[in-house]
Amino acid sequence: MLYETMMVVVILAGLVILGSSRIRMYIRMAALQGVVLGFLPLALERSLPAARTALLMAVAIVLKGVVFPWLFTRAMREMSVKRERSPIGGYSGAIIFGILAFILSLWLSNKWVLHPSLAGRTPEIAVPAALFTVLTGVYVIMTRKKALSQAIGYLVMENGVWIFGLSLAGEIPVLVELGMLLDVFVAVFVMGIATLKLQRGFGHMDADRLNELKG
Amino acid sequence: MKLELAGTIDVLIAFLLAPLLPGIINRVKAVCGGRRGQPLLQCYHDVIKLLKKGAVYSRTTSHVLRAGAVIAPAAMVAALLLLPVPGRRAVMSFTGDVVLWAYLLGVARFFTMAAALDTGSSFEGMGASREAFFSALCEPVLLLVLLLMGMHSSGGPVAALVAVALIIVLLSENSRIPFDDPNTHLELTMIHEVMVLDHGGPDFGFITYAAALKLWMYGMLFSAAAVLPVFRPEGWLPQTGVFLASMVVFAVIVGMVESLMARLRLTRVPQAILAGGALCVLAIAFALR
Amino acid sequence: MPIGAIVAIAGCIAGIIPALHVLVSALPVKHPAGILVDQLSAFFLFIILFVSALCALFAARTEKRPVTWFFFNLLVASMALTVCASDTILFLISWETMSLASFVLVIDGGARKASRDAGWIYFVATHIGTAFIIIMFMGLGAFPGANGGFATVALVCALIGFGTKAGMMPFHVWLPEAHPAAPGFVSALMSGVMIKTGIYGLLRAVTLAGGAPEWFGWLLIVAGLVSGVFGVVYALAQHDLKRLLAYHSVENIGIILLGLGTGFVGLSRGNTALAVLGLAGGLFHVLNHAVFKGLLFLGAGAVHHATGTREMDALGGLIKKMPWTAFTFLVGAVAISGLPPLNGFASEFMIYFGSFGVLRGGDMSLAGIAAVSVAGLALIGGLAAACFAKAFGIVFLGEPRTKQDQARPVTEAPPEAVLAMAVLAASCVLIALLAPLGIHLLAGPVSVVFAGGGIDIAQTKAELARAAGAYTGVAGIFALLLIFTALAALLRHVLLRGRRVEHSAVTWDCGYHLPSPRMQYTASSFAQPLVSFFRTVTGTLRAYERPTGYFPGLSRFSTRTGDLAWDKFFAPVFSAAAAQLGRLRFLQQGGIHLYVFMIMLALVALLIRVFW
Repeated sequence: MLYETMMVVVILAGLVILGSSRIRMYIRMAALQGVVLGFLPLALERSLPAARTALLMAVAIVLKGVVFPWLFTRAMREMSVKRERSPIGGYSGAIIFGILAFILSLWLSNKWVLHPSLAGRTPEIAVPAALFTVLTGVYVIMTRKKALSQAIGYLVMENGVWIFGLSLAGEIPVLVELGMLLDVFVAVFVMGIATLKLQRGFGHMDADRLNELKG
Repeated sequence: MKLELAGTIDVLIAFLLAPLLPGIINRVKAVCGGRRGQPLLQCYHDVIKLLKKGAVYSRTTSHVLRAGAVIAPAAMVAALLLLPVPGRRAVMSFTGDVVLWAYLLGVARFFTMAAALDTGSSFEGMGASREAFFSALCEPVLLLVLLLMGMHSSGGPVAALVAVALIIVLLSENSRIPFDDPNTHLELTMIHEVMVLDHGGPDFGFITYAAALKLWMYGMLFSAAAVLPVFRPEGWLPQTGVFLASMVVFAVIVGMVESLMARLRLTRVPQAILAGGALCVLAIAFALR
Repeated sequence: MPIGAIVAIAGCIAGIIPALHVLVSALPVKHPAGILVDQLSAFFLFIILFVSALCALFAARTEKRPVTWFFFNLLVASMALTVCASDTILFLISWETMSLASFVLVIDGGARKASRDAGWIYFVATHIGTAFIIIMFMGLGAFPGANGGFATVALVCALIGFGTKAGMMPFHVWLPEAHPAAPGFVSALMSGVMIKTGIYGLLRAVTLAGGAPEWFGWLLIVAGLVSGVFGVVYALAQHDLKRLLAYHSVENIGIILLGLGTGFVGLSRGNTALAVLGLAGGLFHVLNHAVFKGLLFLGAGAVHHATGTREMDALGGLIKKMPWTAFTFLVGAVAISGLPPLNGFASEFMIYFGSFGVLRGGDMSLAGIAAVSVAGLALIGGLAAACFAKAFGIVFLGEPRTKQDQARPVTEAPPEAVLAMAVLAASCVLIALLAPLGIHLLAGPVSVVFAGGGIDIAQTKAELARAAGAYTGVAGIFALLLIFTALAALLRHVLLRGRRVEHSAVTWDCGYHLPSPRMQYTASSFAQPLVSFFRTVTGTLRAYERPTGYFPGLSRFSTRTGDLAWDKFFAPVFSAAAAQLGRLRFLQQGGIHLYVFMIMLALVALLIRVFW
């Protein structure tokens, strides 16, 4: 029940990102996903976590729940961008995409044959929830025009991968996860700097106008 | 098909108490806004006053306008026979009765829209057009909610999702605030209210009463969605008590939503309804596991 | 009354009785000339004859030309023969006769170029369909009882071929062209009845192929949803009343396919309830759609005849001049929107009923079907209600949007026409109220389709009897709805007695003091929110010249909604084909000797091939 509730929260947060136009909302929802997913090992293990897992949890929660939102909010304020404007496909289209993506994820996860060692362990909703979250992130990157939104989309995608990793891998490969987190951290950092430069250089941060760079 | 004649008492309760719900909602809104507000029984006064009046019809109108005012309450009363108080049986029950219930509301809506177009007023045409749009999008969400409620799933995330989706649908269908503003009779923002601009006298009394019955029925649905996953009341008095208490809670929730939220822009309304649909899909996925 | 009409009506009545006899008694009629009337045939035969008789009655006074009546009777006879033929050749001959007779009736609309173009589109579409049907028959004939690849190809060919006739998306492109071009009673016949022969053919093809595999059921469900939702969305975007109705035929074929699809999936999953109720719901909707769509097209024909236009934005207020047409059209509009207390709801309810029953079973993918078909039907129903509120409201209510009485006064349709529409409208009510008594008659046609599929007639009857229980409730509520409406009307009458009632006020337009009929909402403006919501699908084009300056001159606004399937698929394919085939022009020299020479050449080549 706890695990399912967590997944519902994560999926709903993804839907809110799809349907909202406020970048502040994106940041909050991505942070919510991050924090909820940070506690995922608890729901899976139903016991006190080992030290390594606890460390991973702590790092993930602090990074996704505090550091990234702070970075994003700062970038948002400095660049004074508050809203996404006219994304490709519109917001209704995004929600319809969300519904279809969820159905597709369910269908795919039905076809998916899990390794027998995981059969009883992995909650059934894990695979569709993870797929859905990854698809949400990809969709946000594809359709939103502000570089900041795209960076958040990247973060959402990572959240989906995190569900996969935690729920499917029998033993959590701490190093892998930590490496991934580091990746995201660097990516967010670089994107933050890049969008900031973009903003200063061009007076806007619309990624679809980057072709101005071609000279 | 099963008949339950004891259910007629619940129908009578609905007849008597339905106009109270708008009163409670308005009182909640007034309290939140720091006002005293209209009397709790305002809706009763309105209906009675209207029933005592004569009538004025536009020369453009035909029998359709007059029929609309009669069919709407008739459809609501027929629909009322199909809805049970949580823990009891409705007057009539059979597999798929909720589908008929939803479509009876559709009949009332169809004739209200036709009556609006009958006046030839562009304002009412606009209202009918928007009503048609939003209710067409609401229909699948409502049916999915009813389907999910019929699956008798346990509590937990599914019940919560269903309840939220139901609230979205009922706010939209009853022209409550994030979707429509029941108080702005003469603004372009409104949807439902503008359709009845040219109704007057007993006709308008019928329409007002029918709207109250509709809100009451959605309250019954809410009560079933909120109460049944938690427990199943036994015995007539506890059932009635739980039911009426949940109706008051329902009115307070609607009032709070109206006080706390601003009306959505019209382009945002379909998105909100679609989000309700997404919640239903999610709930179905969880309910089937 | 013209002799053609008398012949048509008499023939139809003479045929209905044996058809009903077969349906009730379950005794098939057989004739060595390749005729077999079993219960499935009888069911379709009844629909064909019933609606055809009323169409003939409708036009009995207005249509005088013997040519039209000749082809009308030919069309009815060939349709009847199509559903009775048990022999492939006879079936194909009558099928082709049906196509040709209806083609002539479409282009008969006069010398107008639009009619001829529509006729040619129909001609080409129907023959492409026939080509697929012939491939299907050849495949099934060459490899009887084959499974795997051949059966797959045959079933897909059947779906395309018969789907083209039925108006399934994306093979529906001929419907919105041909239906408006034909005269009203012919389009009622084509849309109400003729496209149903496509459904009949599809069912026969399935039994011929030895049953439908599960994927075919899924395919039907998807095709049904696509046709249903997009059909009604396109209908919403139309300004032409008959085009709108034509797109609604696409939508209703979608509902029928959805029913058949759930039936076939239920059959291959061994879920008897879903199988029987899905198929029975689809068949029931075939009957109901014939009744209300016939009614609506007759109403549209009456409007066209009276006013000379089908453009909804030019009409309005007709309820005052044509009260009977308006009332029967309203009945049809409520019925097609699937609203109680009429027959449209009765058949959709059957599909809902089957879907709601599935949920208890716990089969995940069947429950998925249930959810999909419930949500799909609800969306289609909601959109259809919106569309018919628009069609009825704009055409019959309000004030006339343009001057109508210029050429001749607008008057009610002749009594024969009104009688025909009234009978259809009464059927809408009666079918709904009598459904609990009558739905067991569907057991016959259903069991013909499921013969050899593992569901015997006893099971079918048991399921339908279970549904009849629910239908008692539905019919009860229908009756109560009518009674409550009457009581409310009575109450209003009593309340208003002796009080001042003003009947000649001006519609209150929020203080504006010079309201004119041109300011009313139009069909386009009514549908605008929905159409712009679905614009990615409809691809509606807008042309807008804004008013500018302090003393603006005329401004203009118009929308045009094409058809995605036509614009993006058929038109490019056909123009490419025309370009390629143009290269063969050199063969066409115009001299007869050359043609004879070529025929001889072909014969000789064939002879050589045979005797090699």
